[in-house]
Amino acid sequence: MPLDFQEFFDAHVALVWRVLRALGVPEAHVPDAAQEVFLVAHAKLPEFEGRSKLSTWVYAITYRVGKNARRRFRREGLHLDVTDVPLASDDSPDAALRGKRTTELVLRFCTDLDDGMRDVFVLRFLEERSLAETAELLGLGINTVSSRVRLLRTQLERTLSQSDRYEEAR
Amino acid sequence: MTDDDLDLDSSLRESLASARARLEPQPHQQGELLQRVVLALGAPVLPGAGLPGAELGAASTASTAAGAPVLLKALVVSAVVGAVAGTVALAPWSVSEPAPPPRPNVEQQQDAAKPVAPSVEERPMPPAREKTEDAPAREAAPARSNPPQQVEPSLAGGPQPVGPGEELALLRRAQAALRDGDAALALRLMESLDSAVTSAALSAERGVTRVLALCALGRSGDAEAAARVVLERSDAAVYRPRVAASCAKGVLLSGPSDETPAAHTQSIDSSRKEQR
Repeated sequence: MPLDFQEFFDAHVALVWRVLRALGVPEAHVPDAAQEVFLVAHAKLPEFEGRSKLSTWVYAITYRVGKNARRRFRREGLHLDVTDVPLASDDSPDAALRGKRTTELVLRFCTDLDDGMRDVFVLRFLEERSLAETAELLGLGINTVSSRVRLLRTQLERTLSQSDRYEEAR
Repeated sequence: MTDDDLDLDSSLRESLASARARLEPQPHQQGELLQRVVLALGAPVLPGAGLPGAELGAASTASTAAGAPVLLKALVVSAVVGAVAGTVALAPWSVSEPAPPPRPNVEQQQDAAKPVAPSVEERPMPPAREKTEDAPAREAAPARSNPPQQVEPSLAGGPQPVGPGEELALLRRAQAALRDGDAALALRLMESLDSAVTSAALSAERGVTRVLALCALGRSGDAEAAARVVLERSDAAVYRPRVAASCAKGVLLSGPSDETPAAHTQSIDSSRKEQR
């Protein structure tokens, strides 16, 4: 079955973009980082051995590019707003604003985590990877990932419920 | 989700699903990115698709979608997908069109292609485009001149009613202009909306966009004044990070403290009255 680059691109661009944002790459810098991901993937694909899902392999590249980008911003002293989310176009203003705020809240929650917790959050909660896959990707034990998931769930529930109360109060 | 360890309630699932959807690229962003990647791989330029100045939105998406298959014939390769037990194997890619320019450093590519778990090495990013979100860069950036027709004609003639959908579309257009470094257009759109009859729901969002546009134009004083208005009229907790990342961050040191939800509601109400 032939595969062209656009198929590969279309199948993974949402994953790449989403993970870069979740890893703390600001919206304005995502195109640069995403371009790097696809160039790396294009060059390295011949070496892909098929031992994991292709999306997992792409995730691994994205993860590395995103982390390097974040470190670079930190090293250069750039204080970028990584939680700014554009308004969606296909909603009512109220729904668009509510969705934007929820997303910014989730992003802020994510970027405030330390690296170890953030990795689990991105993979397990946002990317919906299985427990086993998350553990394997991060090189952690199942029990470690499981306990982090429980902690993250509690923290996220608290964060979002505070937001809900605020929205209701409006 | 496949495991039971998450056990998320429905509202949490919905919030995460909403966040996932909103963190994905817009169609025009996908088109522009595809164009950039293809160009970097040495394929010919696709006329009109994702190029600077191309209209954002449906037109850009359509042109990209229509032209990309032709363009990408150059990149169609002898890749073979063998789906065996849920895994995929691909044969080497090959570009049949003119030889690609030098690709990113091979060591960098090898580094990025390593598994996640091993330690991550430092590696530079490709040159960033001049549309960073950091305030100093925006302040230093010269304002782009724009033809007058880029201002919405319906708003150019004085106060007129603007529906919620149109207001949202204009706001999104202004934010896109900001991301593309066209702060002058973003500011003009905000000023047009300010003089029109609008709902109050997006007023704070408009205010923050105005702050960022003024910063990008190097008008720090005006940006600070606009930021004060935003922080007085809106919930500071929501907008403070964006103000803090702008050239108007100084107002946070002397600005008002966190507003309560009740005060915010009052502020919105009074703003509605003003605009009616």
